[in-house]
Amino acid sequence: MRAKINYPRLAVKTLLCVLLISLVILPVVKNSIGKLSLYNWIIPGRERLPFSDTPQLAYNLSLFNLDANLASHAISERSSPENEFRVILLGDSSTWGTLLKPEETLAGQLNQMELSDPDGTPLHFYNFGYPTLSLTKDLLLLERALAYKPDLIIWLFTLESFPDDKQLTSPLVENNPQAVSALFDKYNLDPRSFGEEDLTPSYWESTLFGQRRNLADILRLQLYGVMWAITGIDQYYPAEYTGAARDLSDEVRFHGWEKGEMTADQLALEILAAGKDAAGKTPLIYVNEPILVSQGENSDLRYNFYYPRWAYDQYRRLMSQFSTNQDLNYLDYWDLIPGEEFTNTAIHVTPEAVNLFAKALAPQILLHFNP
Amino acid sequence: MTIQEILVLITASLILGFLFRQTRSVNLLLVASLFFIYWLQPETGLRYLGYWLPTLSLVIMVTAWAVTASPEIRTQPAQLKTLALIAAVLAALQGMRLIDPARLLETVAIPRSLTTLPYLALIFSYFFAISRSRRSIHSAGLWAVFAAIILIFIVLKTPTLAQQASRAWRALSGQNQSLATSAELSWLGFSYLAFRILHTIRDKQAGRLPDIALNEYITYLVFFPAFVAGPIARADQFIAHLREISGTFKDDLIEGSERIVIGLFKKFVLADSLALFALSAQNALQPISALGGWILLYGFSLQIYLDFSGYTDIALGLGRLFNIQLPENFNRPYLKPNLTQFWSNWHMTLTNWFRAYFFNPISRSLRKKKMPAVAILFITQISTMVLVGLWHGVTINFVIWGLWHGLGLLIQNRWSGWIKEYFPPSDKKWIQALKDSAGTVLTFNYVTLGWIWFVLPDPDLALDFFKIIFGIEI
Repeated sequence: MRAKINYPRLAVKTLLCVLLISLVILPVVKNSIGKLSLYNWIIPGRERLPFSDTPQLAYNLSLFNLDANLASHAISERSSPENEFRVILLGDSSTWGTLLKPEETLAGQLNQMELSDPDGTPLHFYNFGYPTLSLTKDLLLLERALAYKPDLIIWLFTLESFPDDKQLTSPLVENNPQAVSALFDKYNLDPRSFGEEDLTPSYWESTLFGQRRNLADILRLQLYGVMWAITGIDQYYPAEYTGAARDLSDEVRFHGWEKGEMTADQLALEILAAGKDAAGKTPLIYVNEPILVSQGENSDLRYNFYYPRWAYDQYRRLMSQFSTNQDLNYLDYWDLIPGEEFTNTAIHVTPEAVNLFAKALAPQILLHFNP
Repeated sequence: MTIQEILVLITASLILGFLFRQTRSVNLLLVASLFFIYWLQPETGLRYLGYWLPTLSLVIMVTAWAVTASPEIRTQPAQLKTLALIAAVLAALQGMRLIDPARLLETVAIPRSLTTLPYLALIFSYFFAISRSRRSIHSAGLWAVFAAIILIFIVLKTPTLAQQASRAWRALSGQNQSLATSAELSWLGFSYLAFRILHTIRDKQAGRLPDIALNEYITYLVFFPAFVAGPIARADQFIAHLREISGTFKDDLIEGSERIVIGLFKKFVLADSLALFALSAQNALQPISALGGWILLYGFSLQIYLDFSGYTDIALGLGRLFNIQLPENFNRPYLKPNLTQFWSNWHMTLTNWFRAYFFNPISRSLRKKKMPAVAILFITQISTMVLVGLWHGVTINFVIWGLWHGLGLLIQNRWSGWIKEYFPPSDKKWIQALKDSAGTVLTFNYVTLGWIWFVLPDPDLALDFFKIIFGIEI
């Protein structure tokens, strides 16, 4: 026999529960909910941060909760770095490894080289690259990477990550206003210089309603982790793709600047300086990553789809001056990779090209462990 | 169906269920169900096919009613009113082109009135003619409708024929024929419609079908809560519920809501989560270990059960809002200790349909021929299960899946007989519990391995997956 139900009382109780969860419990736990993860526990950690626009094919997805991103990474598995030197690689999609398997990425190939210090302690490289071009996004990840006590950080970038208008448009930055705001406060960076007045999140963004996408993505990341564990696949590799453009337009403006107009003030160089502050005593190598130097139509005006020659040349001059002034450990590999080794964009390369890059970078890395 | 579509159906059922109880108007359900078959029908690449398929369903339903109804029922004025109501629904659909430019009530694309009018006039002339005919329909008429439905079924379920039909439609509508695919010929709910119609025809032939008015008959066939994924109710039981309301709306609301919530949870939380790591043609060759393969396989096994039984729960709950008790379709099938019991508790209404209209008649027919019992069992079980397989699609893998279960049932039948002879049932409960548990594990795994043939589209891929899960190099 079914017990008689008091419906008004049931409705009031339900409402109270929803309010309690949304207004009290969720705001309290939301800062730690991303840390709850099946990765590195019953699912192996991922070799790179989760990212994909085609989750069902890649068994991976892009989500904005930084804790959840990091908790799914293999670096979270090892609590104590005593038996290894940790080297963290920051960067964009070329570091993350678009069209590359985890073992073919720069971090993967450096690991396969089995580098160690003179005492035999192995160097372990962790891929903290994340697709989308923004130095602010990289700084955000650098700050979080420090929690894993790296022995060396390598920050790879290209000019397209520098313009002010690129700083706050990466989804990872856009969807973490609180963290970005704290970052800007900490390193005296001014969001207004990047076209943003206020980075404070709204009240509704912290409620259950505002967090629904975040929570669903965290759950989906765990479920896709099963497929990652079963298949080792974390990216969709199309059988065919459109290659990077070799024949280029005759447009010579860069982000709206006419030839010669780009100055140091218009590039977010202060983010690089903030990175040095953030890293503190942890050594940090800045690397200008290789780009496609096209030989096709209008290649006398442009290097590739992204860059007019004048802008990129100017950028390299500015970077050289800035690194000298700021005493940065800066390496420039802009033309290391032959043009035929680029895949679908002017910064994505083949596994063979990554190998060439890794071999060029390895001696520079070892200098830090064998002074 | 999407969660949005189901939420619309739930809202509609709450309102219509309440109104149905007040008015007891079958026409209310008829109109709603007709609207929903147009609303739920997916659009395909074939121009206006989304409109003509439900319309063809209407033609088939009215024809099936005409051949199964007695002349006395057929010629009652009430049937003309029902035809007028159907015409009004089609007219309203035409009207939606004009009054709903934002397509908030989006159904399939409706062709222009001037294009459809001659065809609809022809269809309604036909409806009028058969509903006024005082002649008794001969057995040949029943068999003709039966054969027509089977023929459509074969075309829809055979990929090459479906592609040819798609090509023909493209030719008729002036579309590029080279783009024709079998998937374009997606006729939502036809399987269940066909089973219900065949059931009424066979019951008519056996003299078991009660007199049913046209509005009741069509409502039975396309009752929207059960239209897409069943269950397959018996006509006599459904009509009895339709005619006789019992209990209170409050009770229906509580029972129905509980069932709907359970169904939503099973389908949209559990099954859709499992779907992210369930075996599919895409991932079958991707596991890097045997264990990974087994996880995919168990994932699919649980997903298909939770998905299907979730839909059934929702259908039963929605039906309950109309005070209609649809039959159960699942009763913990994976916990049954043998394959016979599994099939008595998995998609029960389909199993009962095949038992009533294929297995039992064939068994009776073979017994009359004095065939040995084992041979009868072999023929009936294998042919029934192959037929169940073919219902899902006319492909080699579905045939193999049917054979897998047919042979399984045969072996289990022989094994049970043998074991009873040498090891009679024990009085000790723990021994019986142990035997049942072992049987459950064995049955679940046998059924789960069978799903490989079901979910993967070709035998080579299925065999390769078998190799993966048993650690054999491909």
